Amino acid sequence: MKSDNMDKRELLSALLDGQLNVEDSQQILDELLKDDELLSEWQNLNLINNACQYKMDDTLLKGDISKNISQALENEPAHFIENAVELKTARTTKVDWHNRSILFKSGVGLAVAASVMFVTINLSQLLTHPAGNPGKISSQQIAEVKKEALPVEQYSAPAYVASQLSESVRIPFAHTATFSQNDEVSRQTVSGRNNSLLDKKKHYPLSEDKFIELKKESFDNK
Amino acid sequence: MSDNTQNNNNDRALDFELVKRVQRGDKKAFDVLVLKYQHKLANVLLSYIHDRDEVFDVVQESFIKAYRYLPEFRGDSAFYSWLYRIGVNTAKNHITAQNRRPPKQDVDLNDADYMDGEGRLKENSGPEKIMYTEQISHKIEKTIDNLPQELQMAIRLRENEGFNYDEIAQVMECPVGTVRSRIFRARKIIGEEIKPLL
Repeated sequence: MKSDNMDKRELLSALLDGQLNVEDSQQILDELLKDDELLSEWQNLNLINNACQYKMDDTLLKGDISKNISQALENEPAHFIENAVELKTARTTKVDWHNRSILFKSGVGLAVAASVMFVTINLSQLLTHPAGNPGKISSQQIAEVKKEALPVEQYSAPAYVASQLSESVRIPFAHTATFSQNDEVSRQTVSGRNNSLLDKKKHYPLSEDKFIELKKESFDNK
Repeated sequence: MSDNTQNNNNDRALDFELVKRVQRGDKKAFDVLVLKYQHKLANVLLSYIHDRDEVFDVVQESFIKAYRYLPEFRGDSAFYSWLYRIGVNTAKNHITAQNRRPPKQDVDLNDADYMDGEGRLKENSGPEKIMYTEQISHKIEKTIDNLPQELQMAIRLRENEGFNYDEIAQVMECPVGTVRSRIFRARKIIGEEIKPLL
């Protein structure tokens, strides 16, 4: 029996340190609320803990108002709350707010980035073609290109090459464009600007095979 | 999750369990909370009220208010943070009621155990303080110094360094159960030594 009580005191000491699992905590709490001796042990453990951790002075440590409070609360009605408090860990709350903050910030960031991009593009267009609306390809121009382009084989090339196809046809915003091997315009352009193409290869690399093929083709044309 | 966070969460879980029991009608669970926090709150409120007798009056009033407001406690913060705010407000009202001026700045909860109401570090070396601390705290220190090596190390790592049982077990190269037992035995010896002083 004495040993059993000793075990309970040891559990109480571990409870004070927050080192018990939920089941043991519940069990020792049940015991604590029934046993005045254990309650007195709880008081001593807290006193030692306060003295060690906060270096409290004697007048504080000797002061005990627990009985006064208990008496004062005797006339107070007991609470009967249906939805008693549940543990919400600080971590969970923090993560929620953190995520919300990230979402909000990234949303705002995207909106700002999109606005800046829009303004930049419009400005650049306005500066390069102040008189007209160059970004727009007329349906007539598209029809002309389509008519001449026979779909024998298609290559993918960077915007730079696409811009060489025709001075009059400009494809805005395009990073890549396709053109046909049989396209007369493209043939002339590639052969006529072979050196330029070689220079630009550093910056807009075609695949090696495509590059050799294009070069050969321009040589044949000569 | 860090060990300190785990410790805090366990401590918070215990408080919430006690609060839950009070909210469901078990008044005795509130006694457990009072025994746990009465000295800690009194120590903090000394930053606002320097008279030690008055402090306990304010602490008592704070606990009674806390009990009355407990149905409104929803667990958004730790119980002690909530109690601390009630305590500080009660202390300020007490000071104002006596036609004194409350401190200009509140003491942060994390620093509250070590600061006075004006944001200065509490004076620990004054003659008055030495006189107060020379008994219980001094006795505890002396008792710890005289404990067997393994008990002394376990209790110091726990109380002074704030290590959890797993960490102490690693440092001392022994099972967690042994750590628990050593800490308890150390506290038992300390408790017996200071009993005549209380």
